[in-house]
Amino acid sequence: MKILKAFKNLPVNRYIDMAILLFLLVFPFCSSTYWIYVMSGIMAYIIFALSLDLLWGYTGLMSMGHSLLFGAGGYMIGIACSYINKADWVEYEKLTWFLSPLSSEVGAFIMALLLPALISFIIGFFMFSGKIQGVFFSLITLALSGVAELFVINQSKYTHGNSGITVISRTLISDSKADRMDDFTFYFVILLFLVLAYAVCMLIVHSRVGKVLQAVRENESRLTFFGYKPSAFKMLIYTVSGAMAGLAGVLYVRTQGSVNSTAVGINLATLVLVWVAVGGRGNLTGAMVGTLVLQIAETVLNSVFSGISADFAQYWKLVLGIIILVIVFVIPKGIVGTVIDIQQKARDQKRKDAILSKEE
Amino acid sequence: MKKLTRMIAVLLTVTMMVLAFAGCAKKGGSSDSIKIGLVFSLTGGTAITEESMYNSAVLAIDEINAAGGINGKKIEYVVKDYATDPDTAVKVVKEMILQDKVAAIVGLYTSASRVAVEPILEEYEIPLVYPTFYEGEEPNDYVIYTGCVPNQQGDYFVPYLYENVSHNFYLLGTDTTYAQGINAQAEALIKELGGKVVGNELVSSDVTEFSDIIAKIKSTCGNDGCVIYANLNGDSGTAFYTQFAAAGLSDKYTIASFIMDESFSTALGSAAANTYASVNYFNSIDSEANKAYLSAYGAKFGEAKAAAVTAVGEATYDAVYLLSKSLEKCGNDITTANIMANFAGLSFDAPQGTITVDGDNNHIYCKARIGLVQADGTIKTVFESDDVIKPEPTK
Repeated sequence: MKILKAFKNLPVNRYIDMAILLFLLVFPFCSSTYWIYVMSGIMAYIIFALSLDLLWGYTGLMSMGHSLLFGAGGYMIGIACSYINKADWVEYEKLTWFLSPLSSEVGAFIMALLLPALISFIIGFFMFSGKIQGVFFSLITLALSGVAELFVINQSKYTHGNSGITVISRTLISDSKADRMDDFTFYFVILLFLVLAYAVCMLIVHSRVGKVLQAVRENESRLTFFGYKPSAFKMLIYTVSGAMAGLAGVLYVRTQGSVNSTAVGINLATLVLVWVAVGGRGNLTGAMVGTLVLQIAETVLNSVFSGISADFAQYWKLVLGIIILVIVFVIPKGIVGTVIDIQQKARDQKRKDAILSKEE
Repeated sequence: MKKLTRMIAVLLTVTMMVLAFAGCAKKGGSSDSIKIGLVFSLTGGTAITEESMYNSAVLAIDEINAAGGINGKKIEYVVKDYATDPDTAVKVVKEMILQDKVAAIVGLYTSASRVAVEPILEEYEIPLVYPTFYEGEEPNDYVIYTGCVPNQQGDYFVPYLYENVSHNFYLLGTDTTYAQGINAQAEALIKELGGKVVGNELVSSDVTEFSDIIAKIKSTCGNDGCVIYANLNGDSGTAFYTQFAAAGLSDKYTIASFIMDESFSTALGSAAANTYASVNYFNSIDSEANKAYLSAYGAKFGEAKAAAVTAVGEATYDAVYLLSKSLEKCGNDITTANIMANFAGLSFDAPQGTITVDGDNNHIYCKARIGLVQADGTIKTVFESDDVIKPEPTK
């Protein structure tokens, strides 16, 4: 009875979480290989969106260059794979010292999580101890992402420049074709990581650290007054978020079978902001819903529009753009944010009614 | 109210599931037609360039179907937009292979998208006909390349410039493997000819401010004439041409570039006049096949569009015809192995002249041409190699 009651009192977004989990569990059993592949990529993107929601939604740090960390993870796998499998464009004999862990498959996987974490720690250290806040944080991260894109293109010795790197797809750690899983198995590997990532996010958000982070978002100077050190907390969450974005990058690259400069670029950095904004910030569910809805919409629209007529095909992006604009204008809190608001209002009303009826 | 929110949650799940199922419903090609996939950027950064590619592909398919199809079977095609994004290219190519069940794919422009889809072609064993001149690579077993590679452009370009323009060369390029390769090739040729490399510079792909480089060119070249061998990408290239002309250097020195084509020269206007280009096809080629191609193109898409057809557009036209010939040879046994095997030695009387697929490396034999940009933006062919040149994609 108690559990049932607790279940009943859950905020509405937890129901949506469960619905999404159920949906993702059932999905591969009734879908074609193509859609299983598409959904694997989307789940990797969801992990990416979750990592941004920790930073933007909960801590109020709007990173406009989060793809930098996503791509850093992806490129570690890419460089390792091209080195281990001796891609035909690789001309160097040995990796430089700081890339040397990439000569082993496990090393690459660890590097793919550690390097983004390290990058975000260093960026965070300079920015937060330098008391850089608000829009300046956003602009600097945006610039860094742009710089990273050029950096990757120009370091063609390791990154194959504009052309990008092909990697062995649908393996987790191995770089050999023999270890390739089928789409169905790999889907569940990613789903497992998604559930883990979600659990980590929930743990952080509901811990005391999570409460402090939300306090940073609401009023940083008051928090300082209470004797907390906001910069330490911000650095912590940025580092965690970075590692998570790196993980998302690894999984995405393994789904796609290639990595290229768009993975670190401004384009992806903006896209992930849009997903989180459309879904709703600061409740984790929003990030998931936004990514799911927009990514599925993108895939379906592109396919449907080019199916109708080729001349029509070029308008799919316009339609998608209008949908996004309408959502952001009509419900600025995002889909899930609005749903939570509605539920909150209803509950408040109920409580009010109950009190009023008691008084009478 | 609570009911409503729960309803929304349920509705959301249901719609998502419906959307997912919608993807499963499609069926592959029928027995009296052959299905091929076309993949071009209909949106995105290179959409303008790829328009003539897409149009040419459709034109070729229509012509083949009007002439009776392939062994009596019509070509059916699906079009996908990859929006100049390699990740989208991977997605739509997978969609065409798995959902639409195409027999072969024609398209792609950027090297990044080609590299990204190669593992998928290998995995599902589906051929791709790639119709873009590019930097060259170790040929993939599932790709047929119908554009030219650097040795087919540069081997005649540098000697021609040496003979007709100047013995001094200033090499400039975007810091990519492509431009590096081209400029290294040019440097070796210039040394062989006894010319002089007065400058060799690589700039980052985002550079659009060339005042320092223009000043350097002025001081190193002095009053002797000089060839500015500039292989700069996209915006960087546009900026260089404009600033070079604005600095009044066009009379003294001559720009020559691999990247120059009709779309670029028309966009630049007078800034591109009297510069040299080198590729295997120019819109102005005076041959029956080219006239027929351009007039058919003009009739279908408008005269103005026909004037904007570039080498990649023509290469796409060739790509579809070569593919149809290969499919024709397959008869009723259309398998990837057969399609790829039949490409070897296949010839086609293209608008640019006869081209032949080299069975050793899946590239084409074609003639080298050098063009001089006219004031109105058209490119006049000033040199044409006597014979077709063997492609050397790994050189």
